Amino acid sequence: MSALPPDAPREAKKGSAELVILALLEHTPRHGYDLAARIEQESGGVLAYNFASLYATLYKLEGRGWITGRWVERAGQRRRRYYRLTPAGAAVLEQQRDEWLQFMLALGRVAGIRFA
Amino acid sequence: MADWQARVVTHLRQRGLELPSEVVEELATHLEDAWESAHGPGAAVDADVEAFVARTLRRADLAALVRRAPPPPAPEPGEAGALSGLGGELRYSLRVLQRAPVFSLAVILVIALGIAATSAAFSLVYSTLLAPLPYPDADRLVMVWEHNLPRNQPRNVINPGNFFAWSERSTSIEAAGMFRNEVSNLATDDGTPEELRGMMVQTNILSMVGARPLAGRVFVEEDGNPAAPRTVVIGEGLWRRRFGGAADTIGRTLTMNGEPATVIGVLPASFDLLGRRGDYWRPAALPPEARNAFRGRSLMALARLRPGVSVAAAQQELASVFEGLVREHPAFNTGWTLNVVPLREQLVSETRPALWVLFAAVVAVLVVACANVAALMLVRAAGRRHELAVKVALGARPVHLARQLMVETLLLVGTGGLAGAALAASLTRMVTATAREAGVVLVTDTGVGAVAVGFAAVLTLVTAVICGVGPALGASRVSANDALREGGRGAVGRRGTLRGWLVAGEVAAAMLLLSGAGLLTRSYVALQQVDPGFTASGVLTARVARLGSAASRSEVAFGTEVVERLRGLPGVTAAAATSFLPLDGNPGIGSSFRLADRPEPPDGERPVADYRPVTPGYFATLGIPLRMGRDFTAADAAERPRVAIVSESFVRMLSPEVSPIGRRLADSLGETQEIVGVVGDVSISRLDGEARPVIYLPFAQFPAGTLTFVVRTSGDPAALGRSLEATVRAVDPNQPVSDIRPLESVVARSLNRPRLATGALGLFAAAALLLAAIGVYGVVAYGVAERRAEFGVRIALGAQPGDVMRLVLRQSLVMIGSGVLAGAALAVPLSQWLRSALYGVAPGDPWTLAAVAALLVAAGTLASYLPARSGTRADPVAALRGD
Repeated sequence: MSALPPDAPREAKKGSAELVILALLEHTPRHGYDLAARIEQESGGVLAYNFASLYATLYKLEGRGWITGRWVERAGQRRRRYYRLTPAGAAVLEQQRDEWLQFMLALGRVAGIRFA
Repeated sequence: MADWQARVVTHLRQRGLELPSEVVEELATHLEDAWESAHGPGAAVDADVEAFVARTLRRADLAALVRRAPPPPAPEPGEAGALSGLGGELRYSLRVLQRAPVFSLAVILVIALGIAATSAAFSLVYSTLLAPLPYPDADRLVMVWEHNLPRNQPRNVINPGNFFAWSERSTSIEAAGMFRNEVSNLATDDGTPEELRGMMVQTNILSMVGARPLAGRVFVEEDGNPAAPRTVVIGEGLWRRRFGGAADTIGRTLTMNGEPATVIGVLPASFDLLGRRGDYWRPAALPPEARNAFRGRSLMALARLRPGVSVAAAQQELASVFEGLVREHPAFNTGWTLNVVPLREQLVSETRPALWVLFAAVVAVLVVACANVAALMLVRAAGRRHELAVKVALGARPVHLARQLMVETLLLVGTGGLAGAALAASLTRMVTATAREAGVVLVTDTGVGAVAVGFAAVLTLVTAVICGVGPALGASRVSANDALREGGRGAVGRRGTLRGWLVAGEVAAAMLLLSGAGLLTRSYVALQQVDPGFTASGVLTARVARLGSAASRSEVAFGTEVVERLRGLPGVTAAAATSFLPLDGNPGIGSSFRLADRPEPPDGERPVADYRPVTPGYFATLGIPLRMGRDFTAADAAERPRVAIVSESFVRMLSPEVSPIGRRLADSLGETQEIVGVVGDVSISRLDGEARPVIYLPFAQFPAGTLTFVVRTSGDPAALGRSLEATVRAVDPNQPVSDIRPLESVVARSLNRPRLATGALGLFAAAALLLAAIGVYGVVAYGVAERRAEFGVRIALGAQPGDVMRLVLRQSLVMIGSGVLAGAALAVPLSQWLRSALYGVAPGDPWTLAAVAALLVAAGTLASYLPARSGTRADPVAALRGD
C-alpha cells in the first residue's frame, strides 16, 4: 500500500498510526521494535513513526483497552513486552478501516488521486 | 541490556524527565534491538551510542510519551500514606510473583509441606507432653506405686493394708485414694447384655481430680461404707446410650454383674482418669479388715501432695515410712519400697522417648524446610540484582527496595501458611487418632490444631523474614553502576557458597531422618518375623467378662460347656479357653512361688512367674508345642490333686539339669501343684521381650481373670464370629461377648506402637527427602542458568556436552556428599535415642546408613541431572555474543 506520498500531510500520517498498529496486531502479538521495523519495511519507509510517539500511541491504545501488553521471557533472549489486540480493539480496527476507506475514496474523488 | 536502561535513565534525567522502570526497560530493549540491527548482533557499543540515543529520544517527542506512559507500578511509599503504599506494594508484589510462577509455587509448596508436617507432629507432642493436665493442682498429683527392688519393678500395683498405713502416717500427703480398672456386665431390659469398662474407686478420688458431674453428684465418703446402698456414677456415653440422656436418670437403677446400683451422677465424655474414659465409676466398699490385708497387690493409688512439698521430698519421706512397714511385715514387704511418680510422668513416660524422637523429626523437617526457603530466596535475590540495580538507578531508595522484598516474602509465606494450615488440620486429626489407637495418652485434644499451626507458622515466618532480610539488605547495598556493568551476573561467589551450605544442611537433616526411619523400619520388619511361640493364623478369639448374674452357672461349668459346644461347630478343629491372651496388653497375674522340696528362700528373694489359667486343649489350639509330660485333661478338676504345666524358660530358670516333671510348686497363697508337663515359650506381653517363665494352671482349679475363648478353624476365622457369639448365648443368654477378633489381629495390634513410630518417622523422612531434592534441584538449576554463558564458551572451545554434565554433577555431588557425611556423623550418636525402640538392629547400623546414603545420593543426582542436562544445551553463539 503506497497510498500516501512522502510529503503527505503530517497530521494524516500521525493519525494513521492507530490504524496501522491495530492492523499489525490483528493476527500476531508483537513487541514495539517488531512493530516499528514492520511498519517501516512494509510501507517502504513511507510510514516511519518517531520512536517516542510509537510508544506514546501504544500506551494510549492500551489505556483505552484496545490492546494489552504483557512481558514475555524467552530462553536466551531479552524479555520483551508483547502487545495483542483485545476484542474491543478488533471492533475499533474494523470501524477505523471503514472510516479510512471512506476518507481515501473522498480524497480520491476530490483531489483526483487514482488508486492503482 | 542493563547499560541501555542506564543510558535511557541518564538521558531522561538530563532532561528532567522520569519514566516508570518497565517503560524504561521497554524503551531500552527497543534501542538495543535497533542498535544491533544497524551494527550487527553483539556489536560493540562505541562513542556513537550517545548520539544514537539522543537522536532517537528527542525531547519534543518525549513529552507525549511521559504523558501517556502507564503509571509506575509501585508508587513511592510514604507520600500517599503508609496504607496505600503498602497496598501498592502488595499489588506490585503479586505481579512480580506471577511473573515467576515456578519460584513462587516452589516456595509456597515447601512452606505448606513444612507447616503441615510439623504441625501434625507438634500437636501430638503438645497434647501429650506440653498441654496442662485437666485437673486442679495437677502439679501436686502423684501416683504412688510399690517398688519391687529385686525384680526391678518400680511401678508395681499396691496392697491396701500398706496403703492405709503409709497414707495415714505420711506428712507429705494431703489426700490419697485407691482405684483399679475393671469391666462389668450390664444387664439390660432388651436382653442384650453389654460389657462396660469402668473403675472401682475410693470415694475421694473423683473429687481429687475435680470431676464435675453433668447431672447429680460424685461420691461422698458414706457411699464407700459396705453397709450403704450401692451407687454408681456413669459416663456421658453410657447415659446417652442407655438412657437417651434423660434428665430423670439420677436415682434409676442399673444391674451390673447381677447386682443393682443406683445412678447418682453423670460425668461428661471429656472426663478421663489417667487416660481411661470409663462407662462407669463405682465406689470401693472396703471392709474394715482391708486395713490388715497384707496379702496380694492389685490396686493403684493416686495422691495429692501438700502444697510446697516437692516430689523428691515426698519420695524420701514415703520411703522412710515404708521402712517401718518392712519391719512390721517382713515376709510381705522385704525387698519393697514406695515410688512416687508425678502424674504427667505417669501418663507419658512410656511414650516420651518416641515423642521426643518425633519432635526431633519435626525440628529436622522444619530446618530442612527453612533451609529450602532460604536457598530459594537467595537464588531469587541473586537473580534480581539487576532489577534492583535498575531501580536504584531510577532513584528508588534502598529502604523501599528492602520493604518491597519483605512484602513479597510475607506474601509467599502467607499463602504457603494458609495452604499448610488447611493440610495440617486434617493431618493432625489423622495423627492424633492413630496415636490414641496406639495407646498414647492425650492430655487434651481441644484446640491442638490451632496451637500447632500457630507454632509452625510463627517459625516459618521467622525463617522467611530472616531469609527475606538478607537479600533485602543486599539490595540496599546495590550500587547501580556496578550491577549494571556486570549485567547482573556478578554476585556468584559468596551467595553461591551459602546456597551450597544450605542445601548440604538439608541433605544432612534428611540423612538423619532417613536413617532413623530406616532403623525403625528394619526393626519393625524384624518384629514381624519374631516367632511368638504360637501359630496365630486360623484362630479366632473372643472375651467374656466375669459372670455376675445370679442365674448364671459357675464359671468353670460355663467355660467347659462353651468350649465343648465350640468344638462341635463346623470347620472348628480345636477350641479352648484361657484367662489372659498373649500379646493383648493385659499383664495378667504374676506371683512369687518356690519349689516345695527346697527350703523357703529369704524374704523378697522368691522367684516370680506369670500365672496363666487355661483349659485342656489350649496348647493344641494355639499350636504351642508340648515338650515333656502331658496336657491338662478334664480329670484335672477342682477337687482333684493340683497340677501345673510350666514353660521352657521356667525350666531353664530353675533347674535345667533335672527333669521338672513330678516336682511340686508352692505359690504365694500356700497351695502346691505338681508339674505334669513342659510347653514351649510364648511371647506373653510383647514380641520383643525376653521369654518369661510361665506357670499354666488348669482353669478348673484356678478360675481367675476374664475368660477368652480361642477357636482354631480350617476356614476364615473372622467368618466364625457370629456362631461363636451364638454359642456363648446359648449357654448363658446374659453373657456379653466382646473383642471377637482373629488372633492375628491381636498380634498385629501389639505392634501398633512400633508401627506408629515407624510410619510417623517414615512420613517425616519422606518429606525431608522431597524437600532436599527440591533444594538440590533449585540450587543446581540456578547455578546452571547463571553459568550458561560460561558453558556456552566451553562448548564453543570444544568441550563435549558430557564434560559440562560431569562438571555440574561433580559440583552438586560434592554438596550432596558433604551433607550425607555430616548427616551420617550425626546419625550415629543420635540414633542412640532410638535404642529402646529398636529390635534386631543396632543404632548406627552401617548397612542402614549405607542404604540411606545411597538413596539420598541417587535422589540428589537425579535432582541435579535435570538442570545439568539443560546446561549441556548452552548455545555457544549466544555465549559469544555476550547475551
